[in-house]
Amino acid sequence: MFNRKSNQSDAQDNDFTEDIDSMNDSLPNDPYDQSPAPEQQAQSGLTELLKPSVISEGFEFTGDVNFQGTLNVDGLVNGSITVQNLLIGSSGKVSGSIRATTIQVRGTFTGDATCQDLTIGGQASVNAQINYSSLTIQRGAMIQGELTKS
Amino acid sequence: MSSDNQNGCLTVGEGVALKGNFVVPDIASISGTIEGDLTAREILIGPTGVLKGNIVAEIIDIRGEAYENISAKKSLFIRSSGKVTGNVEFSEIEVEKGGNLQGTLTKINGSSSI
Repeated sequence: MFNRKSNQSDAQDNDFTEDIDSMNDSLPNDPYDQSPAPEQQAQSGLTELLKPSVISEGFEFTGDVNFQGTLNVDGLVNGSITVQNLLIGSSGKVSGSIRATTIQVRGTFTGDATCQDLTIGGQASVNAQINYSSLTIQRGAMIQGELTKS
Repeated sequence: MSSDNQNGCLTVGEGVALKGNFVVPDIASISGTIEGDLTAREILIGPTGVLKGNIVAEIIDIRGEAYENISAKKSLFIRSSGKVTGNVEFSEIEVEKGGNLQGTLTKINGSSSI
């Protein structure tokens, strides 16, 4: 769980058994090892920016998130989030302040936000002060607070 | 719009400017400008329509502009060309992409009567 950057726990389990296999064979370049290679690449370099980071359901996080990439929140985040794209999934809850280029809310958001594109889904519940440039609110969304357009 | 039966309806054409308080039992269709209070069952603001004042209706559909206090007891629709600024109350809201909504949003409990 310490390395939980994305939903790769299954893949990591596989890595583990494969590592043991390769150790027994004493072949560090075992072709068998190449299957998890794309996953490993994702953990370094630019590839990481293209893949979303995930706070999965049941995961609670308190603190500040700061990076240039995509963050999917299906769990719970308390704190400030500065990212490129933020998706709050239907089970996700965020309270705090958000700075992002695009924000999609399908879950719950409380706090304040500054963004370019704001999309609030039909199941979403939002209580916030939001500064946006472009806005879409789907029917059924619960929204309260203050909106300003920049 | 029910053009067959216009009982209780108000239509304000483009270029028409009204000031005052209006109570409309059915549909108010606004393509001109109204300053004042407007209460209706349903308010449709066309792309050229401008409303300023206390606007109260069950259903409000905005393609034009609305300012000050806007209260939709049931549904508020802001189309992509719509612009809404002020205190906004609604029990249900939908904003199309490109719609402009600024101000304080308050959700009210929907009135089940129609």
